[in-house]
Amino acid sequence: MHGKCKIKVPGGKMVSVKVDYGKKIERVSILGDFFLHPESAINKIEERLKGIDTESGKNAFEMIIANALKEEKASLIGADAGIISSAIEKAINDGMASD
Amino acid sequence: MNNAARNMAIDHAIMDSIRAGNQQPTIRFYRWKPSAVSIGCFQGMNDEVNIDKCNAAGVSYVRRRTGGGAVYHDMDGEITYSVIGNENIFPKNIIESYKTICSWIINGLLRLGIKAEFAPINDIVTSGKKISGNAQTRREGILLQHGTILYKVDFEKMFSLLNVSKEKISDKMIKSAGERVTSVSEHSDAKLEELYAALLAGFVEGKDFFYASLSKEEEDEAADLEKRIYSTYEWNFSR
Repeated sequence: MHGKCKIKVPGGKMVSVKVDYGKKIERVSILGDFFLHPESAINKIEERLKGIDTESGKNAFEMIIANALKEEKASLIGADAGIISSAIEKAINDGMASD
Repeated sequence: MNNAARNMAIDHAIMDSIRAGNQQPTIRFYRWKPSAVSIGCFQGMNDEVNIDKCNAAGVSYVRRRTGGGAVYHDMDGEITYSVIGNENIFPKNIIESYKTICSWIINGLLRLGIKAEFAPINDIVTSGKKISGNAQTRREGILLQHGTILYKVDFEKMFSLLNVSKEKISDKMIKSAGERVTSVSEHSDAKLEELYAALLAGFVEGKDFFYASLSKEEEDEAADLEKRIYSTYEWNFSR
């Protein structure tokens, strides 16, 4: 299945997520006009989300993203782990609703 | 003036040159020929850019190394700058470093009688409307901030090149953008060259500086980076 979700961060940037998934997340693309230093941390976040049970929910996604950011000593500016995890959860729900 | 891929390659080459100890901190002003759309490094090219319209209009497109949003760089409608130097000469706090570099733009605009202010995260506004957008990256100890100072904006053309839904490319949308975005030409009779002179003076005030061109090594590296990265489908359509 495939789902996507776009969230405008209040006072911040746009976060857009595209998710391919079955029972588990197969691929996540996190897009938008936010800033992430270093930028390469996006690959680590997307990689870490692969294989996660799609029903894990927002809190689990958020923890994975926060841990990846910490490991990479990365800073998100204009978005945060909570917003991205909400977008992932909504994208999955969107995919289920449209299938 | 350079094409889009070369412009991004030059910023990259200067970063490498400073990292290698072969170059001083650098302030660069440039324009885009042909006009181009640049997108942030986390944006999807097909999501943001109407590729067919760009191709038909002879407008090129490139992915930046920096985050932020899509920008239409009209050849005669804006001036782009980049500031490149060792990270440790700028504030460690990212927003503070934006503020520092943006203060040079604000200083330049003031020389044309335009009062502007920094609007975090990465904008400069005058009378509440955006007049400059900026984006920063830090890589292996080197900071690059580049940004655009709008001189004259053709909203209709800009929206035809960017992927906004048809409903949004209405008069209402263009009016709405006009309520959020402004340009130097709305506040000053200055010519583009005069804007450049004012920005240059604003950027260098209080600094020791000299004028220089790219070194042969930087030119060669930029040509290589343009070919290997910034002009490739793999880079530009990687998201």
